[in-house]
Amino acid sequence: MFKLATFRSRLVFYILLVSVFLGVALGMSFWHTQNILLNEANQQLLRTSRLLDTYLAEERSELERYVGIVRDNLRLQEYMYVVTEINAEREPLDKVFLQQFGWLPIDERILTDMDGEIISGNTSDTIIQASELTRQNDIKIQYIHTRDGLKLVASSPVHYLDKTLGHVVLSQTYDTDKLRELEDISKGRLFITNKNIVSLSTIPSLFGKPMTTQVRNLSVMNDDLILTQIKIDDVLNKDIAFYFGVSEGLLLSNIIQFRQLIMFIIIFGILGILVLGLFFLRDFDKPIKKLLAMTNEVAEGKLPSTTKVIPRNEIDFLSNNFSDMINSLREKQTLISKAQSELELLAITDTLTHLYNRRHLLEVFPKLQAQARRDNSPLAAVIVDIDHFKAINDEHGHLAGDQCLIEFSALLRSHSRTNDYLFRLGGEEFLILTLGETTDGVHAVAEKIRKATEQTPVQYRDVRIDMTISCGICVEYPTDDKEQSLNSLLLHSDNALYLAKQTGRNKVIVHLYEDGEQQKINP
Amino acid sequence: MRDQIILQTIIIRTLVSVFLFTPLSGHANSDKVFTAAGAHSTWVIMDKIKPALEKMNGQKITLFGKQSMLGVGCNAGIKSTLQSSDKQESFGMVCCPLSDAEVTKKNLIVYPLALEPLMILSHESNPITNLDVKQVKAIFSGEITNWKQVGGENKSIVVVTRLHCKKRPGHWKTILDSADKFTTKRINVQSADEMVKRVGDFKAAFGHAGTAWLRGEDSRTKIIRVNGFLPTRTNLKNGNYPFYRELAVITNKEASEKIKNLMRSAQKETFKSADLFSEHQLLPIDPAKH
Repeated sequence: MFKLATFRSRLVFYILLVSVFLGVALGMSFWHTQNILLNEANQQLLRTSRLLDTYLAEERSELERYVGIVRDNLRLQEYMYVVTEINAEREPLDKVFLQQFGWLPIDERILTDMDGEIISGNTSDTIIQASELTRQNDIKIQYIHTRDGLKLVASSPVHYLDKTLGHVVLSQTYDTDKLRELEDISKGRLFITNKNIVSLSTIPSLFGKPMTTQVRNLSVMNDDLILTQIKIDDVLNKDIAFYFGVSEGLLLSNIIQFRQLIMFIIIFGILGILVLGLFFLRDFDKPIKKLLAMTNEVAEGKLPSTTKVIPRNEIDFLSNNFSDMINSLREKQTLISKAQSELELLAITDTLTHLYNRRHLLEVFPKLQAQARRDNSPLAAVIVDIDHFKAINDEHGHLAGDQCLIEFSALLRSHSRTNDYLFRLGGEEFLILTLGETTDGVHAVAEKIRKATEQTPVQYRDVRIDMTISCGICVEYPTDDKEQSLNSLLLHSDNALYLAKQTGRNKVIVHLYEDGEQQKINP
Repeated sequence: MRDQIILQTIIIRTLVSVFLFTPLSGHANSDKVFTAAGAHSTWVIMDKIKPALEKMNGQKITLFGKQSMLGVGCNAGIKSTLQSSDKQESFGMVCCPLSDAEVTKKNLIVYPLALEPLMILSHESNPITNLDVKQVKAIFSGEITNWKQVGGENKSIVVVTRLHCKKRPGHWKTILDSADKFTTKRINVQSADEMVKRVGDFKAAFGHAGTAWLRGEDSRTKIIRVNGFLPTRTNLKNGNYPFYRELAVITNKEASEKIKNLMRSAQKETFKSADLFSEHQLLPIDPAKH
């Protein structure tokens, strides 16, 4: 029965409650985390774009710094002066330019005179184009789109002796390798557009595609990119724009992975709780049931057999303690039973001779009478009296008398048969009750006892005490009246004993009925 | 490279200042060490006669001037002299004759030691080997701008000058007596070392430097004869070579007699040990005639 009041039910309820709570908590966590992840992704996009912005700004700043280093080099200024103003050969200038600034981490470098003619350095078309543009606009740093790709170009005029000799122009190239490097850093996609058309990308299919600041999402190679534009405000050429995008698919795959993880935790968490709960319930339920059964048996007065277990928990301790308690009860019960048996024995036996007493005669006679009735067999009673017992007491003392009684009882016990009931009726008077025996048989037994008594003197200290007994026998078929039957048996036996006493003692007399029969006829 | 030179100059000047102008408690007596700083050419002389001077005067001398090509020149020599004190006596080494006004104003005594010829330098590949004084002056002034004007290749002349100590007479003023007379289309360097390097870099270069500055075997410069004469002390002494400068040591007028004696000893020892300076083509001045 499932009752909420039981601890078992409560335990089941708590397990279910914990499982539901876990499921709900993790489920809510999952749904909210999905939103958090998406928000975080957008924040991350902005942060990364800002980082890229900073990175690109630092690159521009670094290139400007390099331009400054070249521009301020006095030796280079002198050599430019010699070349531009004195028309000396350019070789020393080239050498100095290479020796002094070959280490700069740039892709291209040139020195131009005031007419824009290159007087030293690389002479590729792109940097010529770049230098013309920067010179004409007198700008320090610029992104320029050329046939070779995007160039970051920095330039500065070179002065010597208050005269402007020309310009130093340095550039760095943005190609797909460079973009890939930046993409590795930013973990996203980087595009460069020229006049809103993708002009540089690591994805070939993007080349030539239109792109505006309004575009927030872009589908590329079965993947959606979330886009943001990178601010580059410190350059003049606004045609060039940098875009940074992160893969929505990558974000979603993260979310899916997170979802799978959460689902895994939910399923296995709940399963784990349930399995553990069941195990716990089983471990809890089994000993409790066993205890309950034992207590029921104890309540019914039984003392069930118990086995102790290696205690691992409170219930094991309780069970073991209960076993100890039952074992203790069992021991007490054994003692009580033994004591009771002893008491019962004491109640029905004579303390001196250990023969049954008159009280037991009253208890046992109805059974014998009933059996005799069932078997239709006679009951025989032999009353035995020690002759002149008073004289023994008087002559040798009561202790000697008691000794005579003890030894006679032993003799009586040894000469009687197993189905004979032996009683001490009182004083020196004893009774033998036997079932289903003929008068002759009973007489033979009585005679045997008489003779044995006569031939077995009692040795009390140094005194030999000879004893004789007189026996009165009565053999009757009992009637239904138990009291009358017993009284009849005892009366007739006692009459026979009286006759034996009267006729000289030390003899066995069988009661004779009025019809002269030794045995009363079965009524 | 230029930055490196400037940095070295700053470090050396700082070291010189520290050594020269920090009172040395351990030598605050008459047995202190004399220190000197200044022009490299004069340092060449003093460095060679230093053992003799120390033996003669019984006093240690510490010289700073080996790196004068880095700019530790005459001005450092004058500063060293002016900073002399009882606790730390010092004197200066200069490569230019000081003007009377400067000597008076700064209360100095000049002890001339030797004359140093000024080399006229060109790139080693230049076929021109000789120029007359007029041509030299014309090139430096800008009147002649192409080597073909003096019989050389058709190349614009790259004039390299080192017009230091502009307010003092002598030295480069034996070529043109004013900086304004030099062509503006020139490059002006800060040391003899730079001069030699610049002239060695440009095949059409033309410059000048004192003979005490040894150009080194790897130099790509050569010396142009003037009026057919090389810048040797013999030619200078004989009056055949026109360009030179005067090397001297200087002291404070209030300097101790001990240091003044040392200066006089330096003059005598320089004159006496002329052979020591043959490599540098320095012509000692007879102190008795000065």
